[in-house]
Amino acid sequence: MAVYEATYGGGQSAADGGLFARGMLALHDQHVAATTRFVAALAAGDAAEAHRIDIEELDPILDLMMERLNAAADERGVEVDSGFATLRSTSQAVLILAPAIFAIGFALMLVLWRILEGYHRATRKTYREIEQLSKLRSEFVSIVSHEFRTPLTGIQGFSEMLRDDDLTMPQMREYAEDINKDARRLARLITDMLDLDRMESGRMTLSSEPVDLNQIVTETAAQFRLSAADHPIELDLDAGLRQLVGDADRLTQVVTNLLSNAIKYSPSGGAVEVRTERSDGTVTLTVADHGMGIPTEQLEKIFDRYSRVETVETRNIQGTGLGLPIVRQIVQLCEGKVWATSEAGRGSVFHVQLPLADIAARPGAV
Amino acid sequence: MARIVFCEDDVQIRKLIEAAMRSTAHTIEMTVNGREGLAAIEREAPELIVTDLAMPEMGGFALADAVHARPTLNHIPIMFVTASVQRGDVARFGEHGAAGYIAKPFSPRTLREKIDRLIAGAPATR
Repeated sequence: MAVYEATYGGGQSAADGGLFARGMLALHDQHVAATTRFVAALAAGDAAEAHRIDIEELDPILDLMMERLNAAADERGVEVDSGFATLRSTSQAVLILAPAIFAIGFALMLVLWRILEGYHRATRKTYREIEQLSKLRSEFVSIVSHEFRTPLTGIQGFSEMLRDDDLTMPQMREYAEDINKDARRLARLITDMLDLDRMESGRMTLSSEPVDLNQIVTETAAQFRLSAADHPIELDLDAGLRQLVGDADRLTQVVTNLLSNAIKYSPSGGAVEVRTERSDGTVTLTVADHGMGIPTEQLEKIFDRYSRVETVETRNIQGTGLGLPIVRQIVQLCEGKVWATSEAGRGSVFHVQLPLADIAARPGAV
Repeated sequence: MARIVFCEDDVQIRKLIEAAMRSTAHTIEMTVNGREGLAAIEREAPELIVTDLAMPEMGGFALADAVHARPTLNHIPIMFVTASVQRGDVARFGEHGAAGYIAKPFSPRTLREKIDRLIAGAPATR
């Protein structure tokens, strides 16, 4: 009601407001009179007259009334609008800006919290990594000291007995052989450890040269025939095998370690079979023995450091526990795969699969 | 003259111990891990147990605990043969009831001396 008055003259001076109201009232009276005549014409059945009144009298009066109302509304509208505008901007400030500021503040706090949380997480992660490294380091130190001290015990002990005890010549020779065995074991341990460390830390780069895998197998087998004459080594080499590009020394190490294991874990006289086979884009080297076999649950574990299978049969077999980890590292550096299959009591087969063509393109190749 | 049970998983060190003990009057029973060692101890009731620490199946500490848990065996002195003596290790040997220890690499003579002292009832010198 207040808005109606503000718009149509209620709050204005008596003269202005009165003039407008009187004018409107006069128009209203005319409209009523015309409407009366319109109804009378309809009652008389004079549709044409009723239609004429509607068009010529009622509509113009209504138009005029609307026109005046609109004019009056426009005239006062400025004030009304500016009032609304003030109200709107104030409510905007309260309803929109305040939540916006709050939201921005909240978002900033959230971001800040996230950043701090991130730093905290990074710190915790770094801390955990350092802790892990320190644990690995002390594990490594303890393993190294254990692995080194064991052959050293033999060297020190047997040499002292050579020096101090009254021994027969055959005993002396035997102890000297024991010292030699332990010294070689120590040397192999050091070499293997350094090799493995360089491989695992990515500091070992393999050379890329034409390599004849069949030749490597043949030469390595010949070496073993000299040192382990009681184990027949049978070769079944794929004559169609073309040359690989790779590191001959490291591939020799792979063949040596696998052959050495096959011989070590075979009973005396047990044959070892080495095969090379070319298939689609790869070459597969298999080394099979007829030894004690590997328990299924250990088939993966044997490639980890110092995780030799300890059973009644293996108790007298010596090893550094690093041979197979080295094989795995070299094969992985060549982007190949190595795995073992075994049947308990019937023997084990080690499979090495190397890519044929990709060796040359391997990143990091020198 | 005493009966001694040894537990050692390394073939060369077993051979060294056997050679070192050959000149003594003691009877030795050589085993390759704690589990075999425990069976030998129960069978032989020896005067002394000499065991390596890191062995497959059953290590030296587990063997010592098992021996101490058996009232008929817990009087038998145990000597640990250890690959490394790091800080805190000696205290740990004590926790597992060690009467003495010897660190690798060891001299055969020192091994014999420590064994004799333990059999005589005196604590082995460190």
